[in-house]
Amino acid sequence: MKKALLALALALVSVFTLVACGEKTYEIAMVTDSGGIDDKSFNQGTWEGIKEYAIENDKSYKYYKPSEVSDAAYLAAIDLAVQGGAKIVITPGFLFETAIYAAQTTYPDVKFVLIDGEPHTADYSTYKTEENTLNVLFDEHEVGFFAGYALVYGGYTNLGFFGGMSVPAVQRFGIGWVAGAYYAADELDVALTFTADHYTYLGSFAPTPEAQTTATAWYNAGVSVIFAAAGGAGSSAMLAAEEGSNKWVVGVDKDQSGDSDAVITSALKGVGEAAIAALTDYYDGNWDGGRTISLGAAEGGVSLPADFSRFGANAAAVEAAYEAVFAKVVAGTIVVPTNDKASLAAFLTTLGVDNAALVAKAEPAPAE
Amino acid sequence: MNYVIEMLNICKSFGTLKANDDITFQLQKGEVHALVGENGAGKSTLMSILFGLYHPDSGVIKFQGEEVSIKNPNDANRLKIGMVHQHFKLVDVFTVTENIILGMEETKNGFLTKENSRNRIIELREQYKLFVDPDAYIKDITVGMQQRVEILKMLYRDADILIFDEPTAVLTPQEIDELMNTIRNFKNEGKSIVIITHKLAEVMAVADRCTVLRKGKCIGTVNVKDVNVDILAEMMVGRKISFDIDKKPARVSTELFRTEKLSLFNSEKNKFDVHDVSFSVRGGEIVGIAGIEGNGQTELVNIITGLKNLTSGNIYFKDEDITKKSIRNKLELGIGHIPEDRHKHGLVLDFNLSDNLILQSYYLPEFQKHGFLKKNEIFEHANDLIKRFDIRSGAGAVSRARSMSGGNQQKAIIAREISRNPELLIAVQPTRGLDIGAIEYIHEKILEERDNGKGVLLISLELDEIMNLSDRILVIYEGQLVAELDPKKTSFQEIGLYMSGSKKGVINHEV
Amino acid sequence: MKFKEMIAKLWLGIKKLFVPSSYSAAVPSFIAIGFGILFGIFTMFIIWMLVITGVFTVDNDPQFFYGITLLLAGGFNQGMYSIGYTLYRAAPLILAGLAVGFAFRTGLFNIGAPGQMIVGATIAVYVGIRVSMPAPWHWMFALLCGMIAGGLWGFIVGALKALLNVHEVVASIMMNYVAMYSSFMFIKGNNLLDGNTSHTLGVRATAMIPYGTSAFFGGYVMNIGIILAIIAVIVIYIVLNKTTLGYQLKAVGFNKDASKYAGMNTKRNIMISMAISGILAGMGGAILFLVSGKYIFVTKDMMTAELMSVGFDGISVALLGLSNPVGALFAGLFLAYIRQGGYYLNLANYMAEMADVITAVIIYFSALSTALYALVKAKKLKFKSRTKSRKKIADEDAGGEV
Repeated sequence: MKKALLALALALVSVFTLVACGEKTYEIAMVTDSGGIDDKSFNQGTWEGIKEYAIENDKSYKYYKPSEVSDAAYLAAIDLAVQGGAKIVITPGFLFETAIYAAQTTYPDVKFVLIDGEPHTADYSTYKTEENTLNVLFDEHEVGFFAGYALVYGGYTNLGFFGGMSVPAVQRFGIGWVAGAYYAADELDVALTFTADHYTYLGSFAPTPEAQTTATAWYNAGVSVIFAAAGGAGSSAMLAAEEGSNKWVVGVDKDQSGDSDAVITSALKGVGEAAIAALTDYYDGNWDGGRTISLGAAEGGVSLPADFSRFGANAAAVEAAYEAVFAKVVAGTIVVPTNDKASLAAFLTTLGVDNAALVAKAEPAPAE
Repeated sequence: MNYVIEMLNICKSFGTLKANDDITFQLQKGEVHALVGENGAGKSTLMSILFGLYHPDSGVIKFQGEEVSIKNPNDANRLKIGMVHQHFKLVDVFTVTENIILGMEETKNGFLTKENSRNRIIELREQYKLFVDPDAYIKDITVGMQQRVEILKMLYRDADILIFDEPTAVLTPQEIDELMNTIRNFKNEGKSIVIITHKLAEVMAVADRCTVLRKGKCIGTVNVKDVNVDILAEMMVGRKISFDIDKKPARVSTELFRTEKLSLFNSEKNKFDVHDVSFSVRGGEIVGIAGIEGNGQTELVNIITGLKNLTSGNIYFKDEDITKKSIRNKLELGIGHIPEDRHKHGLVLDFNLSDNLILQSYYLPEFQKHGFLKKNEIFEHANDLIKRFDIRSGAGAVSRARSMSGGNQQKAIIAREISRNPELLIAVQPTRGLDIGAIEYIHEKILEERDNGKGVLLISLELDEIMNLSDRILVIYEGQLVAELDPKKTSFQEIGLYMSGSKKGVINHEV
Repeated sequence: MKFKEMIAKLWLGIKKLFVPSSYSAAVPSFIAIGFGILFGIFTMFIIWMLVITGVFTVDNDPQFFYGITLLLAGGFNQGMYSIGYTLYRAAPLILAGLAVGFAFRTGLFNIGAPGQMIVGATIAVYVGIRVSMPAPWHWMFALLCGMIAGGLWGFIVGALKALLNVHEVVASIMMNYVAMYSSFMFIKGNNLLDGNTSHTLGVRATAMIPYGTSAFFGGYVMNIGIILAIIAVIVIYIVLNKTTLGYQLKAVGFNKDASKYAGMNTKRNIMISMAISGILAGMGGAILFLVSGKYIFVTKDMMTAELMSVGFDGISVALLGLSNPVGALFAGLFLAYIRQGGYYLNLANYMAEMADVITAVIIYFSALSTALYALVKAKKLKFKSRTKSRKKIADEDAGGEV
């Protein structure tokens, strides 16, 4: 009996080597974050980009799902990917920041692409990006600008903003949104209503009844569109909008029109494009790591979805205006303010707008 | 010989248990045949096979000389076999008529027509003198009447072979007499009757022949007129049995326990389950409470022991008011309780024997230190009781209570209660469902307690037990005490009248 | 001679601890595990067939045989490293299973383990972030606070049952949601959130469950959580089997009426039992999150995926472990092992959720365990009686009679 157990244990231990001799290897690896591969968000977008590039260029590709959401599990999945033959590992989402911080030194020969984040230690005390790591951020302010611009062109002149939390990426969305709306209002010479009361950071990305109540109150007070850069909390705004008539929500990160009929358009981040760009550079021998790049309109990193049908009768006009302003931003004719209130204030001043209360809300004093 | 039913070499096992081992049972036309044996001897199994509820592993059943296969009760009905089960199978909220015709209702255009059936029932009632109101609801009639409904049910189906499973267990002496007459009537009508019982007096009174089973085996079939009770008992148990209880005269001391106007109101039924019950128990005597099942005995015990809260009244133990004391307090004061339902209250069936034997005393310094159980002492305690009370089980002190036989489970409870040395022992149905051997033993123990000067309150549905053991008999009817009798001066008939509520007496209660 | 006796006695004790006297009672669990794994392999086979016959097209074709070896090798796939990871994952599962199993043993169905874990984790993380203490004491204090919080949460359910006759299943399901939203409020209200994300800050290094054992297991991950879980198993084993408290709690669990008859305070026992169960669940929650790089997310999805699911896994572990403390230890280890195997299925292009399919099937079969056991027993007896021990059985039966 004991001998049999021992033999069994030995047999199992001998399986250790199996991982190393798994027949197939995969050069391009992705590690998924908390959601699945079909999350209709970052995971899926990134994966579709990888697939597109890999099929076109005949590269092997594969994704790995970590065993749980923790730095250790992310690291373990990266280990697995490397053992599976990965030469380049792509990780979507800021949750990977700490794991990549460690992995980039553990595997100096492997390239890492961190989408929407920058590697740092768990306590944020040290930020470091090694030569083999490329961070991709997005110009959220530009797509926020497009959204605000398009909505005012669509005839909506009473706006609001839901930010999940007051973090730089979300702040950029909000500042762009305010700037774009005022820019369009100036062009069209219409009055825009955007009070400081209708600009908030919820303090969480979770859908809550309170968020829904707030949205309903805003809609009742006359707001017609809320830009919900708030992750899951966006669905609370959508529920509130569905109850009202001609009330709308602007989605975020991905095309959220499928989530609710009240989503008029979405502020897209081109995670797939980011993956393709990084892979192209890598395979073309142009890898230039150790830095953070920011993808804006010019690089195809941010945009609105092609479908403008929910603007109704104004759809064609809005689309034309969007394309025109998109070209101007790409060309650098318009410089959209980023995530500091000074540049927003300056931008608004050039338009002759004075909304100091709103500007103050856009970048609040950092939370304790 | 003209046999109407023959069951030849029947075998039936449940797991490892051989319930019927090569049993042959032959029923003649027009006879009353008693099937006797102790609990677990295989009587019910055999009759269930005949009624189609079980299938034999081997053996042959012949009906009027021809081999038949009885797969279900419908086959049995077709062969005109009817059975009155020990636990009646009646629908409470239906009338007598509805219950009798259940399963063979007459309909007209899809509507139920009860008129014909009702007339037929009345005919049968007159013919066999089975008086019962065809329009009464089952829940409103007495147990005795319910049994008549079951009998009518068989007759309505034209049964010629009537099986009675323990028919007298729930009846008063008067009702038993009536039943015996009914059975004789059936015999005169040419019907064949089987009575399953363990009461030998009934066998002697009504049966022509008797088949005795013991531990699944057939011991033999005898003509009743050729034997006596002692011979039958010996066949049944396998050894000589003495029915005479050696009972010394009671040496009664002072009052130990007293209740004053105990009442328990049942708000669901909107009536009193226990109503103004006052009595006392003295040291050195056994007070028996007789009554038909469901007349408040269970509730009375529950409020005395504290399992239920009473509505009003007071309980005194050695002149101390213990009405509001907790169950543990009462146990500690010196009250022992052999509960009515040994599986529900008496034992934790998934505990082993040694753990069960300390159920009320595990927390005493004898068995624990700083919250840790003293396993050695607990085992010693168990082994001591096993020896003293002759508790038999597969693995001794570590046998699971569930694996033990009913008799030994009951012995364990009695050992536990007596070893706690209580001054008052409340014994409820202490021998229910036990073998004669175990009954004998338990009766001895109860008498021993009495002779040691302890007070015993005995509550039982078995009138024999009450008559044999008690020094005083109280009769309970619908939650009230209706008589106090001296067992030496009363008779079964007299008690029966009180039990059925036909007679009410005044109790001379001494306070 | 004396030394030898001592060793013999010690060995007997160890044997008694790890081989439950009703060892054959574990048979249905093994059958269930066998069925589960077979079912999993069968499913993998079907997927494989569907892909190679072209019914489905996938990005990367599954590798069936490689997948089986990965699945079965489970926590052994990467040597000491994955053994360590398996043990690390097992600790909270064991504690959740112990919590549910302990309650089961005492006649209560604690479906509230998830809520108790959430509360335990939240309080432990709060202490881990906000309190400043030297190293060995800090994590112990955080763990203790988490246990107390979980215990209180369980106690509430017990009190509702004992005093107001609210069924514990209903109460504890409600309390799970109360726990989740209270935890959100508590985390936000106390500014425990990491400003850049939707999860809590990391706990201080002093509050992390020590990683002393991790060097042995190839670097990171492995903390002493498993040792704490084993200690909990031993303590609960002793409480249940050696103490008057365990005696009463089991008595009430097996037969409430008999316990009442024997003068036990059944109401108090229900409250104590739920509190102990809550303490164990709270401990599991704390151990789950007093870890470097692990954060409580304040979103419903993540809370459900991370904390609630571990709590509910506790029911599976308890069921598989037959509500026995030692059983919970093995069942928790097994669940972690098979999940780790599922994780390695990544390599063979199968979804890691295959492990969940297997677990689910195992749980179904465990739930049928009584029936299965009866079946096995009947088969065995038939076999026995056919061979030699006919007489022995007869003797045993006779021993059971008067």
